[in-house]
Amino acid sequence: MPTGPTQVERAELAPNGWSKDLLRGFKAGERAALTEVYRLHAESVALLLRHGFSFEASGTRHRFAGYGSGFELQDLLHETFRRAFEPRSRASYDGIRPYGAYVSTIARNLVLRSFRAREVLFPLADGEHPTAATLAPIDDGPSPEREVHDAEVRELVAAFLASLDPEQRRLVQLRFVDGLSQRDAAEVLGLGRQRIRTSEKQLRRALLIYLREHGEATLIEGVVAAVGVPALLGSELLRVLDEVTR
Amino acid sequence: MSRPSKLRRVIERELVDGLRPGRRRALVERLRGNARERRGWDRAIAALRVLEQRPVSRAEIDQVERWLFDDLAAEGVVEAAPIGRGRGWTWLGATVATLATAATLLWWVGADERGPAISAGDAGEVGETGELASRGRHPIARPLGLEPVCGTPPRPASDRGCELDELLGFSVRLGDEALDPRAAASLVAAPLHLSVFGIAEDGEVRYYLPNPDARELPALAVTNRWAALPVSVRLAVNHGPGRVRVFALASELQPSTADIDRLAAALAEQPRASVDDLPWHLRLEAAELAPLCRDLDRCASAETEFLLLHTDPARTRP
Repeated sequence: MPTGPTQVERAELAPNGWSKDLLRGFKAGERAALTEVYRLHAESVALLLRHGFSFEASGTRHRFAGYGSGFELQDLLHETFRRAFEPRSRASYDGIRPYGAYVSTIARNLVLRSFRAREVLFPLADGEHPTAATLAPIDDGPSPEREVHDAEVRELVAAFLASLDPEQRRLVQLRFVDGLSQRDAAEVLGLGRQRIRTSEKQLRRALLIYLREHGEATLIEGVVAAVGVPALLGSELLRVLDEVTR
Repeated sequence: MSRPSKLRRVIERELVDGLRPGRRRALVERLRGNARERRGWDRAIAALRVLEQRPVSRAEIDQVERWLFDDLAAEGVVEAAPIGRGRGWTWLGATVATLATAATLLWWVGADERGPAISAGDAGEVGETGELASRGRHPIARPLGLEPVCGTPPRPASDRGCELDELLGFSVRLGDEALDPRAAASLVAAPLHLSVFGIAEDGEVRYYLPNPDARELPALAVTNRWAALPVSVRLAVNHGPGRVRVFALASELQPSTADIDRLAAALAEQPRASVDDLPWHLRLEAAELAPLCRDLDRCASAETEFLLLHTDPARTRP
């Protein structure tokens, strides 16, 4: 049965749920504290940027569909936390509001501001100017091109996995499918952690080379980075992984 | 196996090993707003997401963590990275990045307004030119400027070349209005030592500063003004007709002749730079540059060239 924090533990927590030490370190700009805060909240912000969000503008409800481009997502995630960790921002954070909502608001504002910037770049020909909202794409689900692209990337990754030796496949399974830490994967495989790090690096480099060698001619131009939608992953890739790791 | 484009190689380097912060910023700046060029990046991230079966891969989040803390450290918001920080790819990136030798892969990388001594530019303004650029008028800010002059009174060698019976001198400047304040502050911190050398068409190295008669290098401070270097080279000695590439380096450590030989050997293999190339000290491998530029923000480089002509017998001396 799950148990919540004890009374003593609660006394050690700041109102936002962080430990008081973490909040103090965060306000003081200590690297370890900022790193912990980033790791606590980066994924949720990244998912917000990946899947998008709804908002209202000019009395109309709109939806930002999320970044299809991995680069754009990373660029904005970086900018979000850079701003959130500025001394002024840290000083103004009260430690009471949930930090996840606080930093997500920064991310949302940055997204909407980027659309406002595009208004300036692309005014309408008839003299009307689009609002930030009208420039936000409406998410009608994956387009046929995107679906084709997704399938091609999946095929490429599956073919890449099939080209690996058994030890590499096992590493992929443990680290990326089962989600084990490097330490735990090292224990399971009976290898040193450094060996795991090196193997992961080799694996990633090999994947990029494989993608470059096999993907350039087949991937649809201009429809990139659309994978990652959970519905498109999961069972099929697991099946492929099962096949190649057997 | 096809050879990847320079851009693709640099992207892969950043994704696997991690580039040094200045180069990473320059890469990001270049890809930002250029959807066509970042396709390779996006494809790689897409594949990593499939590999990890996540809508956003841990690898990309870790990569951003490295960017974030590199930048916060550069801004003085947090202390510099301890060795072995981070996790997963980030750890690898940070570790390997310190050993990275990716400089030569980055010839093409555009500028970064936040990077050391580099500012963003409009790609439309960038074009091939023999002027080379150390003048601060081009899209990439270059804090060190170098201009060969020759004749009496001195004229820019770019006007009509130099003749073998003339003296060669140099004008230099350290500082650039396009420098961002952090990069400028880093250069201002203490005087830098200026060395200048050339590579003739036959590959021979010409030692201008230091040279056997002048081993002490002038200290160079950020002034934004051009100044004449205290060196005068009689071109009739050790020079022959042809094109001479000239390289200048402002560094904390004084280079030895052996250092200059090593730099010249590396630079001789590189094609002539154009205005959209990074300053040469950012293009060299770390091993080639070490130990002169351990802190890249405390180094600046410039390159140019001049044409050395046969003496014109018809010329009338003033």
